Amino acid sequence: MKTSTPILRLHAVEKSYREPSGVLTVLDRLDLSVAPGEIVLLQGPSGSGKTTLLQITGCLLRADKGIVELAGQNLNEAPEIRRTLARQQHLGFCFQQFHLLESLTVRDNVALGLRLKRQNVDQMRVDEVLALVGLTKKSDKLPRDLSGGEKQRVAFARALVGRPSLLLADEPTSQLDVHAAEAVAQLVRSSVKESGSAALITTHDTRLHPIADRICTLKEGRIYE
Amino acid sequence: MLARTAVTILAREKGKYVGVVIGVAMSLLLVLLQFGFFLGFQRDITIVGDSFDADLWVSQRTLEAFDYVSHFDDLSRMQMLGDEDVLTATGIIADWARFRRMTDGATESGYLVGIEFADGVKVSLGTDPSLDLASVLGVPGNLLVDEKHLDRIAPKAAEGMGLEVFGLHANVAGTMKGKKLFSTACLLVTDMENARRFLKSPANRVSFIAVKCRPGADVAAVQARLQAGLPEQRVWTSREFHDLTQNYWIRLTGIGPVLLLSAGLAALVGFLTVFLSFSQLTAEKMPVYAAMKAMGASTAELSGIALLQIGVVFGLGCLIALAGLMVSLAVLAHTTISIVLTPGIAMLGVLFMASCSVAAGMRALLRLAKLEPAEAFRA
Repeated sequence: MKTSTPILRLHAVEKSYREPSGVLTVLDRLDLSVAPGEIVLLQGPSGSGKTTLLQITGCLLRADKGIVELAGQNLNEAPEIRRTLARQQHLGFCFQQFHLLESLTVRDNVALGLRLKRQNVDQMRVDEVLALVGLTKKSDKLPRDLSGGEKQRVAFARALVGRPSLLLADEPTSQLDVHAAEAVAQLVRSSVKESGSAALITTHDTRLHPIADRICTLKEGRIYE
Repeated sequence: MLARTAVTILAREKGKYVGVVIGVAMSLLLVLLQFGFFLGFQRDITIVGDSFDADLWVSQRTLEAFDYVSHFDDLSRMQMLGDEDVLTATGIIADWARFRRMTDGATESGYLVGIEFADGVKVSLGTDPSLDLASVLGVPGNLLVDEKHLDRIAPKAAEGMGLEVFGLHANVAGTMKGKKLFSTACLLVTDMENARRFLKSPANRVSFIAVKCRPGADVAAVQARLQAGLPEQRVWTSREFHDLTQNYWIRLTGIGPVLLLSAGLAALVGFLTVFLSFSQLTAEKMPVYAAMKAMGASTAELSGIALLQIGVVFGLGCLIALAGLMVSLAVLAHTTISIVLTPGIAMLGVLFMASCSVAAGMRALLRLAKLEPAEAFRA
């Protein structure tokens, strides 16, 4: 499986930020590939560049140099419209701060994941994903009526509902209890393995280690496995 | 596809939007009322002169405004009628007068205008069309007042009680509609003979002469000819005569600028209220918009959501403002406060506020266009 064409290929990616104290190099000729069906965990100390790497992978930020190839297309220097299209077609995001729409119900928030991908809002698919994250009974609730862990599961459901080729998740289990974290881990595993998609997850949570195909550490701008 | 989402957000967050809707409504109402008051003042300044269907006006040479009258010899009118392009020339006498209410003996000042109605320049006083002004006002003592001043001038007029003008008995023989001065003084209109009697003016004196030219006549040429023959008087076109008084009260006194300033401030407050409210609405949602952009929403779609919400809020605000305006106009109709608000002016007000909303919308669009979806990770 790992020998097939990678869904994600980062090659010689560099990213620096200008700071008052000088130039801060965050990613230094970084290489990373993620194959279909693969779950890669990314860990590293705070400020090591995990979020920057996730942003560059998700076409939310441009690398200074290097190749950012998603589903065979080099998108680092592509026009914004192609990058937007790539996000619609291939990516699913699970943000650490969830970013749920407070005035939409759980069901509508999840359905929004389909709308933003220009997919028909298939209520059966929405129900299916809600059942997988254990929120069927709360589908008509508003986010303000949910606990932090439940909101995190809604964010996760929204990221997965459109069957993305690559799931990008930023600390997706940080607010989940043991049981919920295991459920989410299994959900990632089953959806990735069954659909042949992939996942790149930044996490400090060792509870996710069992589902990982690879665990990478980002340190001094480079990936170590 | 996201329109439904936008509407759902509006419906669920109606509590938050109610404040903005009310802000838009109050701003629009304030702008319309303030401009209406200014336009009402502007109309009333020249309400008497503008009621005449005259092409030219003749006055004493040093006239500052219609209200500052000086008299001159009526013989010059014969000279005017000698011009082949002059159809008719109407003598008008005007002056300030003291009148006393017979009901309670209280005295007030009014502006008395006497007009030669028979065969003269047409004048529109908002009276009952069936009223023959020449014959009704030809009766000694008869005069007209604005319907809104009727109670003030002759509270018991309907019961045969009248008033005294400079000690002479007068009767309110009819009412005018929308013919009152911008000041609190009452406008009293009668025929020339009555006015001369009240004012104890010699029979050969007039304050103004309104001139109507023959159809197709070159008004400027007539003006030049009459002016050449009347070196002691000033011959004005109707526009010049109108502008003279407008200029005096609007520019040379503080009244016009103050009213215009308050109308301008109302517009500024309206602009800031609408602009800041809509900008704030968009700013609050930036992290969510960033997340949606990260998940695949285009700038156009996010702009559509923002504009749809602004449009709905603006539309509701306009409806409430127009309802408030109807109520305000109904209330003002029973007062002597002048306001001019035509559907065209209301439309201009709505367009002004719409442009404020568009400006706020453009700012929101610019922010959305520049919005980096990476903000969703940093929030």
